[in-house]
Amino acid sequence: MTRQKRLIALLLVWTLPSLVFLSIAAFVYTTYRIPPPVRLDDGQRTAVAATLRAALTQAPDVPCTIEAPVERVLAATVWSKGRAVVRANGTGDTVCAAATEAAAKLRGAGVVKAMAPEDRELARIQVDVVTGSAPLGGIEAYAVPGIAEMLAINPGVEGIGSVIAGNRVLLLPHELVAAKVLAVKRPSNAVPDFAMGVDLVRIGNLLGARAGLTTAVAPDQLFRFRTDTFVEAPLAKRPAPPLQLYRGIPAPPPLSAKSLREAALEGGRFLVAHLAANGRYIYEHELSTGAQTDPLRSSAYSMPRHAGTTYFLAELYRITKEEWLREPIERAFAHLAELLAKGRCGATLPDGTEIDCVIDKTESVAQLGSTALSVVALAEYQRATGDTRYLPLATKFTSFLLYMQRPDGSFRHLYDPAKKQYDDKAELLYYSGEAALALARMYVVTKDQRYAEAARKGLEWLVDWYDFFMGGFFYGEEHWTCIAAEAAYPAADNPEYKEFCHGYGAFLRAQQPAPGEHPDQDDFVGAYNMTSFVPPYNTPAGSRTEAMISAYLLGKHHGDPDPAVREQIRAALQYTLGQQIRPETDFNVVGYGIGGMPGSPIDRNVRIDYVQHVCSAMIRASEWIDEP
Amino acid sequence: MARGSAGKGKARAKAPQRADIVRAAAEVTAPKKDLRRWVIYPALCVLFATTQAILIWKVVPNRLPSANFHLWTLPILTYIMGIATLRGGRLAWQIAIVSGSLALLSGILLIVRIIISAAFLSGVYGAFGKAAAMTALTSVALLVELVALLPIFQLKYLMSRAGRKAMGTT
Repeated sequence: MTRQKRLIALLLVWTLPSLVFLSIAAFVYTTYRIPPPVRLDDGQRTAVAATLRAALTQAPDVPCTIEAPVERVLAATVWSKGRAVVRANGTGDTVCAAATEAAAKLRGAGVVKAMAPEDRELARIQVDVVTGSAPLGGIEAYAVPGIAEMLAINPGVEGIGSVIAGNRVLLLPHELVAAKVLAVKRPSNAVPDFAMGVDLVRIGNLLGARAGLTTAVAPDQLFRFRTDTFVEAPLAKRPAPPLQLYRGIPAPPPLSAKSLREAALEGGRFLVAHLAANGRYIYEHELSTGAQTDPLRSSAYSMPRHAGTTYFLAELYRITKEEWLREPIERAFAHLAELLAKGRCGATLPDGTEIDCVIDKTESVAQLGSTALSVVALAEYQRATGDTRYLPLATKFTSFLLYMQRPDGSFRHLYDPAKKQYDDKAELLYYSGEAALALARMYVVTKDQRYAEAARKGLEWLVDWYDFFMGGFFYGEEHWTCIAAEAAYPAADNPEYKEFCHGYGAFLRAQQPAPGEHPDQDDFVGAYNMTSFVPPYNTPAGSRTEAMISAYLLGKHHGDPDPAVREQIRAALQYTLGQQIRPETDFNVVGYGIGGMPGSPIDRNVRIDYVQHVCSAMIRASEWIDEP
Repeated sequence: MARGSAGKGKARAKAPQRADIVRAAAEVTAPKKDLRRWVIYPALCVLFATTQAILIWKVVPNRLPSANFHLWTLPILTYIMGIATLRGGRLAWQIAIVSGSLALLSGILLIVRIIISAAFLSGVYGAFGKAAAMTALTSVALLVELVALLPIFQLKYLMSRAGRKAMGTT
């Protein structure tokens, strides 16, 4: 081989593979990329909405005259009392041409004609302008197995459609969310609660039914599309321009002490509205259907969450002194007292100490967390009101916590009241931190040194647990630990707690996306998320912020507040303000939803603890967030 | 790429010699067995094939038949390459070369799959993200280490003059 040929061969060896790889990447990217929509401005949205509203209210036609492109289809959805009562598609080369056709269909729709005039006024029209489309799947055989199936579409942002008999049949992004077809596959048996991946079979069925077919649409006939979506403002705020939506949510209110306080109070109102006469909460509320769990019969109820939610209401009362909170708090406590009256858990220790614990009627084993959070709630109530009527009850519970604490400061987590025996092996999440917090709070209201000492020992054990080489690399779910560490200050005044919680904050910040980090997913900024390919759960943005507030305050107590933690708190709270249901976003909520906190941007289910954690963080931050 | 071509070898003189002289000379100058053919590469092949098989079986099992087929080509081809190297002879040498090349190709295809997946996710989600990029790079690095390096070195050896001599093809 000549020198020149060798040189050429060498160059090819070094460049050709990269060129091939780059070409493959560029081809795949351009095939599957749908550019983000160029969004209609205020005037354009107002003009489109005016045309459609005239049709909805059966008023004379309002011609639409703006020139803006559309990829063939514009969909107008009319929301009334939280339900989509009618959807009309219009087609055309411009937004106005499509809107005019959709308006004509709305005007003639029987459902619209049957609506009462006041309902038409209250109804809100959502518009989805299709701006681009791309293939759905087709790459499974060439990609890493599971990737293309699990992450086929950007959930809540993209819809799925098919061309049937020359017409585009569409399932809009919000319809896929409501149909619960976006996160159905469970990739790991080890984490059964974790689900992701679209259900293409069901989507094919839904599209087939929408097109009037008796068969499902095959997966290879489907495509993805993106929309520029907006919805009319609530009646009280019209004629403000329609609100731009991204993943179904408009821009959040600006973060301030006032907005946080109002949002926390709305959360309180939501919980009070979901507290039954018997003192039990309506545990879950599915916003898209209005389905709610039955507080009288539901077996799916968590006593730790009952106690935690009541704790939040007591905390909200302590900070806001809103009198409408007091009776519901006492009603929720009365339910605890009712359970105690059955005497299933009460006992007297050999030294004569009376103990008691919280155990639900369906449970045979008492969980430490139920009792710990009940103590936290009862102590919080006493802090808020000065009323000592629950102190004997709280004292019995706290004696139970002391009984469950080992000499090294750790806690046993389960107790069998029938056998009067604790389980020395079971280790559950959260309970040790919750017990330490309960002891710290009891010290605050009683000044009993035994509680302070027990809280200190509990915290020492929790923090020292990480004292091994690998323990320096990670943190578990330590939010209760940091809340307890701050609550125990100054009785337990160890600077290591501050270091621990600041370190925990740094660990969590690595999971918190910054603006621009994922341009299509900027609505996730501030949330805690392992990957931008899966929407974050909303609750950690609350529970971890509760912990970070304590970490920040702990830093202040020690004269060393961490500004990074402060910004972390602000980012998370800004995210939660956007996620919470408010008048702007309740157009697709069935039942009382204002103040509720959905499970995630694509999960419309609200559970009581989602509201508790997020709103507790909001009300605590509202006390200092405006300070320089 | 066959650098040790037959043309470079010098023809040996074939003068008649007495058998005992030949035997004695052989005892003095007999080359040592090439450890790379007899021990190092076969052992590495078995080690890598076993590691790959355990990883595919226990750590990253896949329910898709096509993906499973692709993954299992790696330990099987590596194992065949090792056995053929140990076996020696012209046919075994050819089998080792083919199986090693296929193992390398299979590894490259795995890297291509990662690239396609990254490009697909960037297309659908707008960006790939630092964590995903790190995961992908780590995966490629592991693939190179666990799948590609051994065939590259072993093929290089098998194609060399020493390798072919040790395999008994010259």
